[in-house]
Amino acid sequence: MAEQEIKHKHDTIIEARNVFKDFFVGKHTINALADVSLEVRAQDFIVVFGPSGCGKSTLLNVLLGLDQPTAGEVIIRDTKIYDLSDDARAKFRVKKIGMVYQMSNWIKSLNMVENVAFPLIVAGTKESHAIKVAHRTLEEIGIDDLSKQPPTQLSGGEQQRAGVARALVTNPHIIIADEPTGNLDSTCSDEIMSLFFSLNKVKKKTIILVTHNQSYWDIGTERIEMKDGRIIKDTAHGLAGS
Amino acid sequence: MDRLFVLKLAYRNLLLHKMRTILTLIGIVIGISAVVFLVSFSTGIQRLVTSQISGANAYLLIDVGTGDSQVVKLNNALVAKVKEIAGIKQIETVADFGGKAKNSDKSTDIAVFAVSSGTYLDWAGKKIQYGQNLPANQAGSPAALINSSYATFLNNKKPESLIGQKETIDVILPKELSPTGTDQTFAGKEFTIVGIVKDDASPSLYSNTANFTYTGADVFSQLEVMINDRTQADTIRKEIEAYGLKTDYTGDTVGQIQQFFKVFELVLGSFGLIALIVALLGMFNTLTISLLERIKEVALMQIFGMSKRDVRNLFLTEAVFLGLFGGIIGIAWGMTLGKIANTILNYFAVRAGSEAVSIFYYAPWFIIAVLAAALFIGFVTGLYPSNRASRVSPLDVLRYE
Repeated sequence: MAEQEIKHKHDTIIEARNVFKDFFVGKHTINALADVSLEVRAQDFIVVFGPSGCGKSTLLNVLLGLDQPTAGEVIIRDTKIYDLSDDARAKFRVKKIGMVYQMSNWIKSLNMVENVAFPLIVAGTKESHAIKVAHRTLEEIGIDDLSKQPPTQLSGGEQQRAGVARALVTNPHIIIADEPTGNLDSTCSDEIMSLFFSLNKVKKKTIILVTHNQSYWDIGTERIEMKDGRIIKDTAHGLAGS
Repeated sequence: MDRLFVLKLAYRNLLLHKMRTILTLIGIVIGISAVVFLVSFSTGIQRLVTSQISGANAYLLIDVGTGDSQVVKLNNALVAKVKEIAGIKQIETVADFGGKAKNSDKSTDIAVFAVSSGTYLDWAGKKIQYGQNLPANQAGSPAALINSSYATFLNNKKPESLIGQKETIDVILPKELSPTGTDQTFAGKEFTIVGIVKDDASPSLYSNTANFTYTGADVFSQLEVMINDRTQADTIRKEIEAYGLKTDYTGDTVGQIQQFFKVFELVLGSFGLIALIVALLGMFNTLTISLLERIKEVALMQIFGMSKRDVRNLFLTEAVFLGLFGGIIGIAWGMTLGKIANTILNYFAVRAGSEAVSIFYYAPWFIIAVLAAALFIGFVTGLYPSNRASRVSPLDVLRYE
């Protein structure tokens, strides 16, 4: 029997309340998310896992403000994000959340540092200042020497590092990553996951990360298992749920 | 979002696929240059024809003569009556004599014009090439202007050296102007050349009427009447014609020529427009394909916070850039083609003995209008792709991945 625990904490920064997400395919209704509730506290590192089609990516998209839930609310830092307009929500997202995807997509006409600076420029920063910040971020990640290269010419690991840098450039409190190591070999994957670990422990970032890779399930402070659109196990501080 | 960054991104996106951008630009350049070339050709020909027919005062000058009348005499008394007509500003008279000029063992017939003043030449649009116009007052040998044909007859190599030289001709009074009713020749009449006008018609000499009193001519061949207001031209002509005189108004001819050339311009411009429409379709195709190739990028930009308006502006900017660059290069290329065509034409014209002319005219307002049209075409072509881009759903793209 599926169970979920909801912990109410004083420093909750993301909250999903009774979220449903249905997709309509012809006459059929697919319940991608069914009554999902979640609280994320500051500096949590939440690892989300489950079989393909269980709703992990849908949950992330709903939390990111990309996919309006059929029912329920998402509150990020006291803002009900689905009460905002599309453009306002996009601006909110870029300032509050850094995103890392399995496949890093790039703006091909820009070099790496310009791509990394892009979210900052969209947020309203002048390009010259955004580039400086991007260089600093790339230095922290350790790949500033590649800043003038077109991103598509970098290796998978380097691109994913650049993707993390892009997620960090606006200095968000929250990072959401969807299968960031999905296309990488084990060595690169370990490096990327170490990076996320360091971002949580040292930079105090709140991280929600989806991964298929079982070896990473215990890297975080909390583990959420999903199945058929529901959270079936939600553990905190490494404790297994029942 | 930093507007300069949007401009930079749009420019970089065009540079990313250089060959595609260049080919699209070539299409626009061909269309724009065709319009510029053809319309400026039409305008140039129109100006050339109009200037050959009339000077700057085409709409204020009425030519007055006796036509075929044997009865009406255009003498001082009649001129005085015409001067009294309301709306007339000034009258210049001219008497057409004949003449013979010699140069060593060569001789030639010349036209000799006795004019009331140098103003007649100004009104006739004669340009002084060397020297000066006829003086108002003179002493000594009568001053004369000759045309470039006559100057070439006298000194083919260096016509300007004729200024100040004395020239002796025979003046022939035609029977129409003669009080005796017969032709009369007055040999060995000396003039001092004070100026040369640009005119390749038959050799001609102009001098003040006062220098021909010995002929006894008491009638004029023609009057040049300047009016104050072109709207009064018809009324004044009727009043002049009431004295049995014939009038010609260049303004009528110029107006008809301009009507003709308006149609001519439209026809030529339409050909250019066809080329431009084809280019426009090519540009639309390029922009739409560019959007389809960059769907993921557009989704990414929106995920990272770029508003729908900024996405739309980005694609519109790319389209306007194509229009702008195509417009500038197209105008330059059209003007270059015109210069090349003009040079080739003039090469053959000069070889055949004619003078070099300019058959292309690039009216500043026209060039600005073409550039504005190019920008507008870019904008219009970009509307669909840019709106389509702004409607890309980032989620659909992510799900597809």
